[in-house]
Amino acid sequence: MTTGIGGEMDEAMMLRDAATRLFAGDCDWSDIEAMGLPLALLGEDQGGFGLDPVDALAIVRLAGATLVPWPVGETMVANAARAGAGQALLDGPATADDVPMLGGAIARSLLCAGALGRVLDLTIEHVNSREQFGRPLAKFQAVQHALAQLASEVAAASAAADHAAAAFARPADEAEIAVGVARVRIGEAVGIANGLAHQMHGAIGFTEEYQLHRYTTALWRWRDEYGGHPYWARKVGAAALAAGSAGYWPLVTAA
Amino acid sequence: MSALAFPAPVETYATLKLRAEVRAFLAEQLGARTPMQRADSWSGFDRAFSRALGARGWLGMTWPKRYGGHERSAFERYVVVEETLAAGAPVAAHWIADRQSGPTLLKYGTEAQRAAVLPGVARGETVFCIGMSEPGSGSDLAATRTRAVRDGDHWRVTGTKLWTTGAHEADYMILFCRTSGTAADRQAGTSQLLVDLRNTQGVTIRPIIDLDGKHHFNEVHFEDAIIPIDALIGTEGEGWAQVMSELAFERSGPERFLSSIQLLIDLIGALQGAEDDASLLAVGRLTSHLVVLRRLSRGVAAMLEAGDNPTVHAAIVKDLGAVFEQSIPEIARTLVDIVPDAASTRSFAAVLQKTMWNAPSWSLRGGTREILRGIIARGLGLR
Ligand SMILES: Cc1cc2nc3c(=O)[nH]c(=O)nc-3n(C[C@H](O)[C@H](O)[C@H](O)COP(=O)(O)OP(=O)(O)OC[C@H]3O[C@@H](n4cnc5c(N)ncnc54)[C@H](O)[C@@H]3O)c2cc1C
Repeated sequence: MTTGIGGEMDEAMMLRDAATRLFAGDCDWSDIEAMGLPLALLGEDQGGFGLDPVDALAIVRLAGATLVPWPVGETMVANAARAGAGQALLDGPATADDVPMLGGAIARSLLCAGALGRVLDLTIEHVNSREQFGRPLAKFQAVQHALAQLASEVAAASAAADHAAAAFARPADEAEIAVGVARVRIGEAVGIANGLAHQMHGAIGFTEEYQLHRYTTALWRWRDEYGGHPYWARKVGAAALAAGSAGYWPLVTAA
Repeated sequence: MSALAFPAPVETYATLKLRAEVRAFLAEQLGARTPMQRADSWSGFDRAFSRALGARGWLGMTWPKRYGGHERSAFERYVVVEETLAAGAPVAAHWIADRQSGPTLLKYGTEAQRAAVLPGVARGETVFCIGMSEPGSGSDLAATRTRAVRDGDHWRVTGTKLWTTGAHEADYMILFCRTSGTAADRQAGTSQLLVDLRNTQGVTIRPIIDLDGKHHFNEVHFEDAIIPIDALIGTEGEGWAQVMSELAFERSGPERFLSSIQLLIDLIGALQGAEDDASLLAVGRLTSHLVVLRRLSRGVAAMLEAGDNPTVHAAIVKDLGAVFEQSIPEIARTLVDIVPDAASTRSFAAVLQKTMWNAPSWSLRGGTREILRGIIARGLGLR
């Protein structure tokens, strides 16, 4: 959580609570607009909330956790870009052409973190309730270790998404590296986490009926939109090699 | 949500300023250090360096001033710790004392123990070792057989500690042992004692040479060793809770993912000029892992600063960190066509061998991968 000064923190929490309630049901774009979410990254003078971008982007994580079928994050970053360039704001949900690469990648990072949190929760519920050999799967050490690994990947992806969100307010050249780092790490976390979650669920996780696949299949797509692994890994790698041996550690601490 | 949240790292004017000071100090102190020496990571032992660090006020940083500390934040301490590691500084003479023995004494030690020992640690003069593992008690620490029996105004200690890093250089050991009951009582009846290794009869320290031919760890044998009664740390019988708290300090820092940073730095040097796509992708990936591990680890520092218990978070960083640092030699060998060879005049080949050979220890020392994953699973409500 970022520490806004007093009131700002409360406002961020209120917005998060309201968005949680909204996303829990079937929400329409008009509900999202009514809450002001498309303008969440804008200053108060521009009709936004004047929130710390990290707090505003936390909404996108919630959207990932509930698989909201609207481009909440994309519209937020697209409107922020338009406001920055003095252009008219979007009149409805953003389409792919409206979304800047970097902003889209930040939004995708947060969506992934939200969905991965759900993948972990579903898996914990499943291994605690499903019994084989007369006891819950959670009692088997192999399952415990797989779950620990899943949780570690989810924690890493979550921290990476925080890193991407914090990059929103940074100068573009710095943000490119920070977001690249997040995208690469999240992409790898998705591969490992999805694999482990499906393994621990058994066949039920492979059905259309059970909800796990709604998250895992979304993740397999989201992680590669707005620049996939090669795109971002090359950027980070080029910066590291350009820094050279002497400049490498300073680059890491500044990333 | 059950996902473990890591607090955001804190960067302040104080940490930025300190980082620049530490970098300047290290550049001046370590100019002549070769890549092979830097690759010793936290095994490099140099009393003069530790004293110099202490003189700058960079040891015991978070401790009260009355014990020689500097009352600075966990974030400032983090800066010094990670900068010394990233530079391959020889930190072993102060490492254990500054990281875990000192904090354990601060938390559980008597006033007399703190006053006698902590100022020397903060000056970089007092060396500690960890007396936990034994021949029959590795991961299963509660199976300790070393026994301290109360005999008038002292303890009589008999038993064998194993893999004790730096015991041959150390002034003190924090000894984990049984003070009542039997091994069947498990955690109950265990305690921690502060053993003055320079002034105790009946202690024999024998070297154990590691697979790289180095003498870092030892076997420490206690044969009716007489230890003053006031050497007890904390509460008799509460040794288990205390040792778990000590392990949280032991597991929480950036040393848990920086063991092979020198090889990564040398790899970047070796790839200069031949920047093919495979190299870009691999270095980009490793760097991404490193930056995220740093973020997680600084989140643990934020928890320490807030007084929160980071046991599970630290286990996550150590487990992910060991996988990362162990992967570096394996990835390096796919990018540079070279035989690992410590005797090579090419420093990359030499550092590659040293790193590869030391890598297996990183998922053992301080708690094995399997033990850490058990702790994480328990933290998620399993078991
Ligand atoms: C370089 C180095 C320095 C060290 N320095 C010190 C020191 O200064 N002081 C000190 O006290 N100790 C030290 N140690 C010892 C270290 O703490 C132990 O090696 C570690 O706790 C494991 O114990 P062990 O070696 O007896 O292995 P074991 O406990 O025998 O384990 C062997 C394997 O079995 C696995 N295993 C064990 N129990 C279980 C279980 N319940 N479930 C699943 N798998 C299990 C382990 O994970 C491991 O993979 C050091 C070790 C090394 C390598």
